[in-house]
Amino acid sequence: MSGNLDTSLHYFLIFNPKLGQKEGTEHEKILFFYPQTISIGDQTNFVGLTEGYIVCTRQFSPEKPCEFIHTQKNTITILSPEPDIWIVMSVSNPSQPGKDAKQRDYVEDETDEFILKRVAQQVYSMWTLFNGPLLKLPQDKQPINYEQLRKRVDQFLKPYIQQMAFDQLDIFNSLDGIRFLPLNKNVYLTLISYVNSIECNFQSTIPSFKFGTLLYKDNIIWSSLNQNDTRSIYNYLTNIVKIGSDSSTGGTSWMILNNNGEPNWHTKGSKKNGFLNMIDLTSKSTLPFVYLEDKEKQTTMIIYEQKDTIILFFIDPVDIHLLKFEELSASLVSKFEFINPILDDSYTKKSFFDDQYKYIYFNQMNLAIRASIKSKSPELTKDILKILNDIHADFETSSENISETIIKTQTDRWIVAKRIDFREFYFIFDNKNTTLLEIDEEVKNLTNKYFKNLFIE
Amino acid sequence: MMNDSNNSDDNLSEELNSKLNIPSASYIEDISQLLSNIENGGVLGGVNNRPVRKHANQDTTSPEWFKHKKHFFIFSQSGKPIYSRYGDEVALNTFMASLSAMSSFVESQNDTLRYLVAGDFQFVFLHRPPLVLVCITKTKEPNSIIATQLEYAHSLIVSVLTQTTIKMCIEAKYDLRDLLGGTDKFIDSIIHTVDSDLSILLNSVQCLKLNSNLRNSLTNILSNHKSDQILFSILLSGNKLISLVKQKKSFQLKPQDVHVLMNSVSSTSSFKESESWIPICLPNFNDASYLHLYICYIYPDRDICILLFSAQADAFYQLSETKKAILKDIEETEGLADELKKAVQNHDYSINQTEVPHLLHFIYKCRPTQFSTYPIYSPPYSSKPEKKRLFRLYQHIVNRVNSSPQKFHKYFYHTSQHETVIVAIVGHHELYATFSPLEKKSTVFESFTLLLQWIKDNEQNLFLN
Repeated sequence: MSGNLDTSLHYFLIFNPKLGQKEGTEHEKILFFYPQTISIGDQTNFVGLTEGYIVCTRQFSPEKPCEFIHTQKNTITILSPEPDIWIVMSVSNPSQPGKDAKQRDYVEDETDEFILKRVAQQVYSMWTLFNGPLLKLPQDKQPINYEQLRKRVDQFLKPYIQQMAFDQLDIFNSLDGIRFLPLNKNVYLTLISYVNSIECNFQSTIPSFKFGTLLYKDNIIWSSLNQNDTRSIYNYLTNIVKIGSDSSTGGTSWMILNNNGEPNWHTKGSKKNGFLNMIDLTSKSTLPFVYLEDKEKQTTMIIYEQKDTIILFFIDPVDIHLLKFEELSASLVSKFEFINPILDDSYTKKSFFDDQYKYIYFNQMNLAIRASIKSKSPELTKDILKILNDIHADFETSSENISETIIKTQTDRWIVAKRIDFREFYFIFDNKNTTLLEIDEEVKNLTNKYFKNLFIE
Repeated sequence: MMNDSNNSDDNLSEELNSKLNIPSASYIEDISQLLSNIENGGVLGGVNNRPVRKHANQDTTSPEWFKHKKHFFIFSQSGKPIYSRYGDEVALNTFMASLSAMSSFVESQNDTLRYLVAGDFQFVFLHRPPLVLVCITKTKEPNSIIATQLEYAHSLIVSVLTQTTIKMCIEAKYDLRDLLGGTDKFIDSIIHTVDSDLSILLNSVQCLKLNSNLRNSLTNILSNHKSDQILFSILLSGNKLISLVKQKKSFQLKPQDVHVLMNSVSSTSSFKESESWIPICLPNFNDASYLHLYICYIYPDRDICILLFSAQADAFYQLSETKKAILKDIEETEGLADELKKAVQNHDYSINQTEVPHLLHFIYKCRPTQFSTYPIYSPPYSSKPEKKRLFRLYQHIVNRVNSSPQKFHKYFYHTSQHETVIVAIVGHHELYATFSPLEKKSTVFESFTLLLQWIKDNEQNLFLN
């Protein structure tokens, strides 16, 4: 090993402590392990160590046993999203060559534990979105076939984890917010009436047909789903399907069902106008199921994209043969052609303010996020990222109820963070020679001027 | 006042030996004798003679044991219990072994366990081979600050035994507790101190507030009695430094060593009764061997004592003479002794004396000298929980501001439910000032500037030069 190493995935583990009870069979507890380059012996050791951490900490904190482990070289998050399921994600801390050639210096406080927790939760949410709970019993009430489960989890999670950029996790991952497109009231109402008319139109013949979510590029306009489902689907669309990003960059993939009816990542496709998740209009069998609110029941997800407008519908799988895709597509095309330019207008308009100020706004209540700073942008140096992570963590966890933090860094950048009820604002200023009072004045002015009506146009 | 004045030399040395509650240098020099002493029930009479401690009968079978806010454990790398703040460490054998198993598994991966988070609890590990120290706490203090507290506990053990002896004993598989018997109360006391001492929080030492002319006179007197025998001459009162003279300029006395020293001196009440001569190791000065410390309270009613350090085990009588000479000079300087005693009495000051409007509290550290000053808590910080809350807030902010030693933030402004704290750090100093959260920023800023000026005006009396 030489040179500087960034944060990277050490291992990702899912296990069931109830399995492999007999000595010598402990490895049977493992439902998923990545990467397989780590020996089965070490994998089993990690399970044993995690169980040790849990048993020891549980004596003090029965409800919330070990959540985070920090070592010199790794940062680990543990979660138990359903009974008998433990997910362990270990990330290697960044390092650089030490003074002594054999030693490396590890940066121990750069990997934010809340970001890791959120990322591990996202991986699990992605699984449940398309597969339901890990330990859901088969419909015939037969015992769980663990061999089959291991195979399916591997097939699903391995490609997903492989595409995750662990060196690029930042505050956006921990906020895990949703970008909403601010729209003029009239445009908004027109859109809703469009969507309603389509929904009514098809519901008359297929009662299970339902509108889900409407987006323009990576901004949500309207969603009929609950917050968590909206967030899961939004993550799928923005991080995997990569809507809203340049279609030329490629690397997009989506979920389709394979011949066995199992969800599979389909990576060859590039973006197109029309229905996603379908090879062509006749291959309805590739449309993936999703598990929403009621995690037990599956529903078919239909995604239609035209230019940059994306609309989601849901339908009961048994009704899918009733749906005429050509008809749906035809009714969408006509409406979308008209609204696309208006949406594009709103999308570009908002960037006037964004050009002038570096900010992040987050609303805990509706998960809305707005930011002029892009995730992974060079603006966000490691120092600044750490400060933002720390402030956010303090806002979330401090018993003192912090409402404001202002910092002038070593490099003379000002960071102003405010929290009002459920809203968090972060501003970054590069005016070297300003005083705290001047910065405060500027923040006051711009929040009065812009933020008052920025989000409720 | 001076107990030694009537004693013949023989009596004195006998009395001294009987007062030693730490193995003396002569024992340590002969390792085989030391080990045989342990085998014969310990240098100090063994574990059985230790005083009964609070909560000593608790262990992991008692629900109330888990309710303590902040546990401290010390054990050897192989899991042998050495110390537990609550409960009997022998009964906690299995529990400490499980902590040790976790940390040694990580070690077997060529890695080091730092801390775990479980709900409201943090488990912080500090590896100081051959010892491991662990704190389990729900006080929500920053992990790095808890690690520093564990370091203090470790330094204290080193100050009693030296790192060399600790290694030797563990390697020879002897029970360290036999050597440490009676030291538990020192560890208890330093754990208690680090949880409320603002000067330790700032990695600094508090000085007695004293007119600079008087301080100069005292320092001159100490300097006049410098000798090859004496490495450091220190005058202190409780946990406040009055004067310090080093044999060589290059000698460094780190704040941690000073606090470990103050802790040992103030937790032994017998030091007040007569001159004492003890071996002590200053971990940051040299953790491999003992220095010999002469302790004498010259004004016990004001907690004022002289500490003289020597590398020579037989320098007691010389140092005793030196002390007599120093005391004579102090007594003969007109008004000096009275003014010094008065200063000890008047040391504490409140924010009112600064005349800075709206100020609630502050802490200040002079960075190059590592000296600090702060007023006593005054309303709204009257009750114990409120004092603790402000202390916890300072801990949090000190941790945030000094996220890395070279990259401290220049300004930090924090507003929460009950206070606004403004911090400025420059090369020379760091100042943390507390106000009501309702104050306007301009008001806070104005008061902050006034406070800086007040400290500058009083700097000469607040700190040693």
